[in-house]
Amino acid sequence: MTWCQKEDLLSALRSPSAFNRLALVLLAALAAVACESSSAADSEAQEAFPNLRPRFPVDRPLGFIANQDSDTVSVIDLGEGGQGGMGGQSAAAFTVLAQVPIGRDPVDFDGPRSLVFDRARDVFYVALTYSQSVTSVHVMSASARRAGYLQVLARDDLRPLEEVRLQPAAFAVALSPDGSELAATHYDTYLPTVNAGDPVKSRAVVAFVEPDALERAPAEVALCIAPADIAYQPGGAILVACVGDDSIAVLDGTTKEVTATLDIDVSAPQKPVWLEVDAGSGKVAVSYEVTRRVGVLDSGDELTLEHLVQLEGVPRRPFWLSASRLIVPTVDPDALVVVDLATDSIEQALRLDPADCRAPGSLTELAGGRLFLVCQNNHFEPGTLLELERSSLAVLGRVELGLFPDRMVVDEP
Amino acid sequence: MMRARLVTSCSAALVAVCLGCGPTSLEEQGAALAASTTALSPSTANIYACLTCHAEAADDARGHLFPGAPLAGATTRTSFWAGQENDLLESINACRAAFMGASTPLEADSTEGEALYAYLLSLEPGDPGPIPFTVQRTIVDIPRGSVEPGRSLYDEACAGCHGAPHSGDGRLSDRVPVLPEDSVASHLALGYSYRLIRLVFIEKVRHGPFLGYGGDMPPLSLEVLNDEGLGDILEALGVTGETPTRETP
Repeated sequence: MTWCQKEDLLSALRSPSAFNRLALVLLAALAAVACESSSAADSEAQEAFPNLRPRFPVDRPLGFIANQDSDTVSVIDLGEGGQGGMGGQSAAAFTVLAQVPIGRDPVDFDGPRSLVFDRARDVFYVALTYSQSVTSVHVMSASARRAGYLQVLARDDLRPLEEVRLQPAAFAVALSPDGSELAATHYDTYLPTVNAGDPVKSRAVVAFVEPDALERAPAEVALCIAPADIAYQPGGAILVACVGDDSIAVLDGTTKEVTATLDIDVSAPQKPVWLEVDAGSGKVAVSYEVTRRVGVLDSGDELTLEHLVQLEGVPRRPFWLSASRLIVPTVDPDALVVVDLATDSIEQALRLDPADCRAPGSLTELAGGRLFLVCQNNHFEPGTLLELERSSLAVLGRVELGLFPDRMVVDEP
Repeated sequence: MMRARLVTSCSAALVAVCLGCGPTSLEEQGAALAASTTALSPSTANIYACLTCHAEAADDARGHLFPGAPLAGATTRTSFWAGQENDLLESINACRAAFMGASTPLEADSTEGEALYAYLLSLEPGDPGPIPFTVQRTIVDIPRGSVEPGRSLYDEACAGCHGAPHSGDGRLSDRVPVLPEDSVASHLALGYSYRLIRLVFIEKVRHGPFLGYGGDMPPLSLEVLNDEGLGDILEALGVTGETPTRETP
């Protein structure tokens, strides 16, 4: 008999024997005490809404990739490397552990991108961009323009921890070298459309956020028209690719004032979009998408152009293979181009097999030198992650990602 | 006699003690929360309870087309909202935010959180697998349907909130539009043609408040109501996309 069930108790208490009643009363009293303690134990044992999310290991290198059009992060176990191989050889030496849903909205596209790992705080930051336009017959949808968000995600399971509201069209996020500041751009092409002819009103802001004080509203600097990529130099200066101004801007890390800008050719649009700082020299590689060129800028007292190399395809995010060599992924054609900065020439141009990679976007290197390439594909079919042999750039392995993946961020033990 | 009364009194007291003990009371509190339109949202505009849109178990859903998944199974499920959420509490809070106007998340260790979870736990076992939930993103017109099945489907899918067609009798609130008259009139006033108004109906059913539409009506996924069924409902309501002909006196 379960004494906590009222039917059983009531039935026993209906017994005609007084002795039975008395005995049952005592038993019931005991049961009541037992019930109380068992109930307390149950409520202690059964945590409300336990976290059932998969936890990710910390004892091996993992890659994390935001999929902008799937609202997910692909978590990749990067394995040990060394084996793998395509073309009928063994399988990739790395595997997808999970595609984790992220974002604030369960139906709309949150458009997560620009994942940043903060090792000191053991968290990720991600920009929610709401970049997909909505087509609707309903009147309210015509003016729908949503604020972006910067979300903080736990490293172990990507659960959301905190968030801060940004302006619409949030785009790229960077963490300062000392970890005290986050900077976020807004690739806002709406402002110049509605403020045509007014360059001041057309400027979008760069938002600055303190990771330890996310409850504070971001400090905002109206910088330039449609700022895209952003990066900190080792010394703390901030580089921004101002697409609408067709220039690169340098901001003082403390005052946030512009200390230099460079438009490499004022006579024609260049469209600088992607930046990559060389951690050793502080020089920055820039992809100019319209003119299909990659440049290297040095920001000493002034911003100066040191190298400019013409490519066949549209350059995406450059990658520093060494202080004198870049690998530049390009689309149209989909290729990897190795640029020798000593001679300002193309050392190698490798066309990518569309079965492996469409629309290569960015490269990531592990501490041991293993090299990975994210291929974004289109917005409707999954992207891929390739491991490349470092010298030949041959494909060693391949896994499928979500829709329109961004660059891979690595956490290595 | 006195002794017998004493025994009876003690017995009654102990029954009362035992009835109040254990998880039952927490479950009951949770059940009350799930049925309440005020307990889980501070918004005075909220008209929904959890049980407005969810059946407790799949079997309970017979005769109704609930937009939400059955609650049984929720505590063991790890995928919600077509895979866009992987946590039950986050999913509940998404519901509260989108439909109930609650901007502050429910906390797991709050009294309400613990009660709601105890209630959901009491509904198990249910289907732990993900419940399909396909939101049709691109809105296009659908084939015309049939009136008779449409009337029946309206009762199953729409009447619970909108009440009877044309009169709104039994609707959840006065601010819920009477179908189709209120919705047609408000869009005609904005200059919409009857063809576009039909698309607005389709979009509202498929997108709910999402994808830029706004409002707080839950969307009906393709699994809950397919296009054929929606075509039947629109036919029953007379939302054909055609401009009505003027009646001759």
